Amino acid sequence: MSKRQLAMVMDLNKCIGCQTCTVACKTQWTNRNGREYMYWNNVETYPGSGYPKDWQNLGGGFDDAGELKDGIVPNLAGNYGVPWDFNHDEIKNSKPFAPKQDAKWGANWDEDEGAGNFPQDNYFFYIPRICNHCDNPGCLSACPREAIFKRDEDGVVLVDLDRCQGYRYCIAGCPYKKIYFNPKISKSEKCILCFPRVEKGLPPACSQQCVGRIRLVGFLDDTEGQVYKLVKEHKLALPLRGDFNTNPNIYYIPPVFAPLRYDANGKAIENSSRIPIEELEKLFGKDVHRVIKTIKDEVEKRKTTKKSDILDMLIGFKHKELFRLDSAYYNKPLIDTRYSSGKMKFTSFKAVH
Amino acid sequence: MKRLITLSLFTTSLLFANEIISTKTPVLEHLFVDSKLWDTAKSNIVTLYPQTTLNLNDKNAKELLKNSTAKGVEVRVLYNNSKVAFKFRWSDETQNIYRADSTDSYADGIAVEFPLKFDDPKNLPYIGMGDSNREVLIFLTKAYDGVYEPNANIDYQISPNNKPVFGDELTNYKNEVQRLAKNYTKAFIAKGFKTTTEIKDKEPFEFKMSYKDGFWEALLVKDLKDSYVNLDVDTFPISIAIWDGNTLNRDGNKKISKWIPLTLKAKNEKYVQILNYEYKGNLENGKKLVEQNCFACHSYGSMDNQMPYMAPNLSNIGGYGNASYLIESIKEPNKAIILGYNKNAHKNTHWYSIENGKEVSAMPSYSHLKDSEIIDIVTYLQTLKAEVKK
Repeated sequence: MSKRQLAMVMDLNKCIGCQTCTVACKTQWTNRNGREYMYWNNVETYPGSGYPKDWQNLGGGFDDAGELKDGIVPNLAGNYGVPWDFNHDEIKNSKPFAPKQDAKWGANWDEDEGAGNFPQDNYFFYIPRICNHCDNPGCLSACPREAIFKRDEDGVVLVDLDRCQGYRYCIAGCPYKKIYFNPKISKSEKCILCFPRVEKGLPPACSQQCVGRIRLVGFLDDTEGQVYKLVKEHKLALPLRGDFNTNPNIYYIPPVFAPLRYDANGKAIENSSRIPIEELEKLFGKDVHRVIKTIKDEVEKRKTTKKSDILDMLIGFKHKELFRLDSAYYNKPLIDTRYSSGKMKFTSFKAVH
Repeated sequence: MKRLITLSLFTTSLLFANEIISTKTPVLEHLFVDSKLWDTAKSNIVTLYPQTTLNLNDKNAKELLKNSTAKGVEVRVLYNNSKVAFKFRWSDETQNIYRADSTDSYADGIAVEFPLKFDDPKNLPYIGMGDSNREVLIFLTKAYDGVYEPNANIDYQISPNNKPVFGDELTNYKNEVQRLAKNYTKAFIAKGFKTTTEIKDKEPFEFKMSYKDGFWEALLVKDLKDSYVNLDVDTFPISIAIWDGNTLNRDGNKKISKWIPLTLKAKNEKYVQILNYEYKGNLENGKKLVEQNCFACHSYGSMDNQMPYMAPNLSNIGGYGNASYLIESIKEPNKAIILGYNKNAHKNTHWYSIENGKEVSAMPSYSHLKDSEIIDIVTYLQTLKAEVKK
């Protein structure tokens, strides 16, 4: 456990699958130098194979006794998808824009497919995923060189690229498959929670760019902050696949509002939900029942009394309310002071701009 | 320990395992792997065994280890007054060169290991990367072919497609890649798992490998005396490791040999005898004793019901464990505690504890057993090794 832990909450009721977060992360970190196939942030359609393909069945994590479970190192063409080259040079000759390689699988290939039968009970929702910066990371545990470490100041999990020798046991060890092998430099790389931004007052790129404003970022011990309140106080934000036993620090508000199902005559079935509760249990555990009930109650409360602190937090009217970064804590010159509310107040620090 | 060995030397017959004899030659310049000069060098065969001491968490690699076999590597050594050259040759049906377009392919490779101190053949470093009190020097080469150099300078973070913005930097970047992407040849010092440290000073040595007709051939040429180890002696120990990329070999997942005596000038007979010593106690009694005393924690062969990280797996210990190491492990287990072992070990199965500032192995000493019982146990352990592939 680190001294303090930066955490993120994503409200899946608001995610529209626009992939702006994916593009923000990609253009910032993974558009070059061997990382082209990596999506440190990805948004997958659930139900679906996810990215990398079938990641939930590729092993890793810990069993209930605490032992590291065996895992599989995913394959570039089969699981991740090879980043295609496109025929930019040919489109001026009126050829259709297409990949140069034979495209059989790629990240997000099964976007919007979902499950069920249209129009009775078809459904899907989006799950944006980044590295969970776990308290008990599978990657850290698997590395025989101790090349992965968890920062004490904010719990960000990082790879020491000087120590890494490219053995890839970390990739087999992560149950979320959120650490990737860079074949150009023969080392593992992963989401760094944009720590160079966070240290200077900016939220991670994925969070700041999110169009739907679904991401809340803050320290887990910041009792005034919305992340603390949603995770620890009201316990409405749940870990994804907590059964992997890594104690992730990225939490999700499960999708509460789904359209009603239709019967064979096309008539809506009262009090039904298109998202089967078993699917949500698989992802977020049994607490999902309580969370759905609580949020539905809050919506009712808002309708009658016009007040709901919880809904105010989830709506997130202002960026300032979504991100509480405690940036004075890092003792570095700040680029942005707007999000510096937090346990450590921004007092006499001189911002750069 | 000394009493044990000298007693046995008189009463049991000796069994020579592997040994490497060298050939002296006047000139060792411009030597290649296919130079005619190698025909004059004596051919020696060293047997390597799959390293199965550690439990891997890579499911596919683990699956492939189940049927792994031992392998012979041909070694020829030429030396003169200042240099020594090693030629290694081994069969490999599949040539695996490192690929920059794959996340799950691994390269073939070979490494040679020397103890920094080897005057006492009964007190050598732990065979797998040494231990905290006994360091090893390692030379390694892997099959790379003009790909951006692994472990490269990560300062080069330029997108090669961003021509308008980066201009000059792109040309420098390309030149730097060319300069770095030659081959993967490194030297290391290690004192146990996770301590492997690359030697970056310019010690002159060359290590190259080339593939021909289903065989890898590798050539290592180095000074007899370098700043780490002096090989200008009669007999010294050497260990060889090879990686087969086809079976997902990398890191500790490889085939390794015991400490093998290599003789340059005059053979130190006693040294060779001690290094190659194999006990001939009562095999059946040994098997029974191992079941009674060791099986509680150690898995070996088909006896594999133990928790995976509880204690080293002994399935191939007869292949890469010299007799003196086996004795040491039984009588003085605190001597070779590998601090970096079992990184994944559950907190309930930690393999050592710290008492009064010193590491104490979770394995108790079995020196209370009779000498004959220990000999029987070692006799049985010596048989735990994979078959050589036909």
